[in-house]
Amino acid sequence: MMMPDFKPKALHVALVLCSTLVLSGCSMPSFMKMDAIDDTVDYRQSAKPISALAIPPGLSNPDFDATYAAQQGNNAGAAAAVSTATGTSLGAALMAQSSTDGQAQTRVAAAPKTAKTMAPSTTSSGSQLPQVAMIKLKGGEPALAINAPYAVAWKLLAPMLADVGFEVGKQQPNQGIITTTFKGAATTNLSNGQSYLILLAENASKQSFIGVADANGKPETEAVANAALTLIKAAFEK
Amino acid sequence: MLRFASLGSGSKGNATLVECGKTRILIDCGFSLAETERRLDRLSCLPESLDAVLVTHEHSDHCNGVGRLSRRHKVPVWLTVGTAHMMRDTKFFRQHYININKPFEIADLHITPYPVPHDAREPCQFIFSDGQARLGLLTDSGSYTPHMLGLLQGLDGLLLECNYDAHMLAVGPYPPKLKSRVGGKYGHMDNQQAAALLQAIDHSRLQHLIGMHLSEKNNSPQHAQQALCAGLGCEPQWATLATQEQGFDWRELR
Repeated sequence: MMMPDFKPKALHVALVLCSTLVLSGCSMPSFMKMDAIDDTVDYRQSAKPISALAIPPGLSNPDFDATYAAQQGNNAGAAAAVSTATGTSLGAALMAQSSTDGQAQTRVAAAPKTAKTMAPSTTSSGSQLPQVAMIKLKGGEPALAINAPYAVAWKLLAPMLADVGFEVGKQQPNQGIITTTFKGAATTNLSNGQSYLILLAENASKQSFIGVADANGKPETEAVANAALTLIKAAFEK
Repeated sequence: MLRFASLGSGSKGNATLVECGKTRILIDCGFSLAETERRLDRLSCLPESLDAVLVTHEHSDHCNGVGRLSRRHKVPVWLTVGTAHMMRDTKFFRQHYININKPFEIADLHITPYPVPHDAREPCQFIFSDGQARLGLLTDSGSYTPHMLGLLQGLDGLLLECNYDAHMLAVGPYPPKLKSRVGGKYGHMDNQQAAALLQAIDHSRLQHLIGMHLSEKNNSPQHAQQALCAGLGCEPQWATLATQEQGFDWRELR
């Protein structure tokens, strides 16, 4: 009886092919599947149009639960100082203004006309300057709100003052006081050679406030303070 | 019967004792070990007789001596997780965590913790009860919340912070940043806030009202006492004040 004559090389190839298929766990290659059908799902065609998900009103506009909210306005802070505003107390009034946080922030935010001009400007060195806005303290004294912490505002303040015609004298960073003499072009409200104290304070929200007092520390009149603060504001907006 | 006393109250250290039956606990320990022992002795109290030390928050005037006291006299410490994470010395004899919204008991004493707005990680204050009388402790809080007001209604005793007088703080020697911090919503309570709080709660059962945590630089006993009495509508001598050096002697609530 004649045995089929298998060549060893063909046997090896057949063995390798079979074991590859078994080990790979694959079915037959697709080109070998004669009855293969396309099982791709057409989600687009099969999907029915549905209405958009509605956002429950509580999610887009959640109720405010004041149970754990710290009371606004029960913080007397140093607000009392505003009415008695003597020199140092104007600085404290600035601080007190800020301890009623919301108010100062609201006022800054609620000045739409200023808001446009409050876009951050840039210094010559390319760094951004903080936003500023004119506000009024509780006692009616004008102040300049700066959207920057005390340390940043303090660094900027002296050069800004020099830029707009205030000669900078004694600086007291711990007290937030800069003694200045106005050497710029005299106006109706700012006289050349006149001394002013520029006061800086910061609130808990890291906003700073600038106020203006006379050499004796008494708050300047509204007109004078406004004139000085407008100059400083312009320097911040350069 | 609830008894309570203070070892001292102010920015240089705070510690308050509360006692009910055989249970005696210390709330905060802002003094050195030796100083705490000396002050406890003044109140005829042995350190090893303490059943627990409760810590309100991690500021040093409240927790300076907690670790050493706990280890030396084997006193367990109760504190919030946030406070535990922020304290430097946390090698306590034994430690228990407080759930800030969940009342708990230490032997005979029922304790209700509550969160306060203060610039610490997880600050809390407490209301103590023996089942009949209720004693409230409220210091180190920049303002008060409706939740706090709800818990402080109808107390029999209240230890209430009068940290500063607004005007004295304003014209005082603190740098602007510190003034902002102290006067802010998460700082300390001033005399007027204390008075307003008294007016906002039912104080008809109050047997003791004690002004706590007075600033030495930004307040005066006269200002604080005046404000407390204005808040209660009572005679000046009725409300008393805890001092930094002496605290106050034992008081009782029946």
